[in-house]
Amino acid sequence: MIDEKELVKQLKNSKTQEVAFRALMSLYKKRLYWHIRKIVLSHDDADDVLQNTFIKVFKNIHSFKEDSKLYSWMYRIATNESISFINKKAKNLNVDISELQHTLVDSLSNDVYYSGDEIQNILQKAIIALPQKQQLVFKMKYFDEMKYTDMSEILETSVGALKASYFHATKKIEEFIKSH
Amino acid sequence: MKPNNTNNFKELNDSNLQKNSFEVPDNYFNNIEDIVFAKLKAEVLYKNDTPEIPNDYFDEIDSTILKKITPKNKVISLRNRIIKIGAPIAIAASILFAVILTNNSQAVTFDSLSTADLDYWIEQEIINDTEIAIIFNENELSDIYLETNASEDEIFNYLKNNEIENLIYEN
Repeated sequence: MIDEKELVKQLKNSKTQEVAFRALMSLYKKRLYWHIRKIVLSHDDADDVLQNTFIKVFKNIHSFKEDSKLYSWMYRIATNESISFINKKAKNLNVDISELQHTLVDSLSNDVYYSGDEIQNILQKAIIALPQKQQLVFKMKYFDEMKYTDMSEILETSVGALKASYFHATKKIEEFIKSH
Repeated sequence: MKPNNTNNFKELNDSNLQKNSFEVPDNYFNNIEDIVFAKLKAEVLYKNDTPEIPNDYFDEIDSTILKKITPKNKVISLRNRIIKIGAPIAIAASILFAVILTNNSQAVTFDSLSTADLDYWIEQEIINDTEIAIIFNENELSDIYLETNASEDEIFNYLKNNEIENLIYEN
């Protein structure tokens, strides 16, 4: 297990930077990928966002203050990159974010890298019916099983607010599934 | 389709809903590190290959171009303008003045013209034979010729010095 402080030190040193950064990517690539994939849905988009996330981490490692955990900082970058990606895509297609998300969910059935059944499709539709912040909270808690304390660092929201958000999200999803 | 014919979220949790339905291409995670480093190196190469420009170049380019294409207000010299406009007016005025003076002068008669004046006019083609013929009647012209006191020798010398053929062509 690599010590995080030592890893950060190596990342900030130009002589050890490349080796340390490879280690960092190996450590977090899967977790970050799945976090991103749940937000952008398609594999190609998730691949783009993951690469951009790592590039941003590499370029900004010197501005990492170490007052939060390294992985929380990386998750925050990945989350922001994913949301920016979705916003940019919606803008390019001249549609609002909700409309884009409906299109993305509808196209999942044709995605070769998606194998969800009907109930999985309903769940995806229920999630995109939520406000954006609740979508994030639900995905991080439900799919990634992340701790509230970690979510609090990443989303810069209090644990209490996150718990309330998740509670409301599950209620709405329950209602959505009942009606479909 | 509703899982186990129930609408309860807790039972949805139990129904393996949390399983990951998203997949990735085979070996996708094997070479991400290489792809990211290739991108980073490409960015560095691109940055090094791109000639440097001043920081605010693109902020100022619009106004720089606009300054160049906006026509400058010309400083027009008053002296040149006076010469340009005044000269034709002065010439026209002079001609008008000359015409007025000419009209006010006494009527030109044959007696008032010197032979030298006539020679000059004919020589400079200011007036030609036809015009002379129109202006003066036949008798007057005969008188002019009669007044010419050219001797036979002078006529002979004239003809000798000027080819007759040329005279014919000229007339």
